[in-house]
Amino acid sequence: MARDVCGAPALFAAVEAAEVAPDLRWELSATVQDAVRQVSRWYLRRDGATGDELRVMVAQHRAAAQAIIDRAVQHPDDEQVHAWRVAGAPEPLLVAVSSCRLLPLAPYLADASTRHSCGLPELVDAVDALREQIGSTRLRRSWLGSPPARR
Amino acid sequence: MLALEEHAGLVRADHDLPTSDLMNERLAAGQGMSRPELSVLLSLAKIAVTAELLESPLVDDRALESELLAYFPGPVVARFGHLVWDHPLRRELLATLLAGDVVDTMGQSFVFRRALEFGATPSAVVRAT
Repeated sequence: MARDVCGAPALFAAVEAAEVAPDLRWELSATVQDAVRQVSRWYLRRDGATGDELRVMVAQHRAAAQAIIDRAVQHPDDEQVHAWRVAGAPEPLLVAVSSCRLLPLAPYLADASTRHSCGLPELVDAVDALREQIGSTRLRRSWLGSPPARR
Repeated sequence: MLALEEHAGLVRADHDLPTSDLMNERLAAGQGMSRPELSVLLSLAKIAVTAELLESPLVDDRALESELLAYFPGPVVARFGHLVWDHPLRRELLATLLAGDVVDTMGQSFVFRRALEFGATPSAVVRAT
């Protein structure tokens, strides 16, 4: 599920196909891996849906992930992205991989949107405003570092 | 290796894999595992995860039909796609495909370490991933 939500198969393939230095390839790949790892935590903490229910849930979470990606693509610059650019990562690839970093929020936003009947775009806007204020890295750390009860 | 020993019955000596003492020596010398050793571990991890999946209901979940369809050539799917779910080796195919994907992209120890961390079954980890 997490790989589908993150669009990881295509990203892994793009990283593998890119002509970049081995260290950079490893770092880009590890970034995608980390997004999958973090998203999978959400599913491991919850009972398993199956069949159509599972398909619907993954589709909702994928939509939230896409909304995050679309917003992140508009602001692809930060220190890490800059470092990847300097190291020779192709622009489309580094934008795609950097967008991954906030995808662990996708299941939470989709879930909150469903449970509280609030629009996903508004939630993504709120996350984006926070990202602008404190930066992707800090936002990600603070989110993933917070206890489950507060999420 | 520790995770595979605990969950998948790995016996290192059977595969010429280094002991914990030897690994400690290597780490102290700034070395790790050789590529052949990593390759053996990769294969063993896939075999172990596949075996776990075959024992689980995950490979009977119709939500995974798209994974199965992606395995077959387009013309086969176009003509016989509606029959693919009834393929006699459907469970084996799905288990092998899922195990291969997860181990290739997330690493040899990911599934069993995650299972340990969350107290989940390996199949639940694969499903979540």
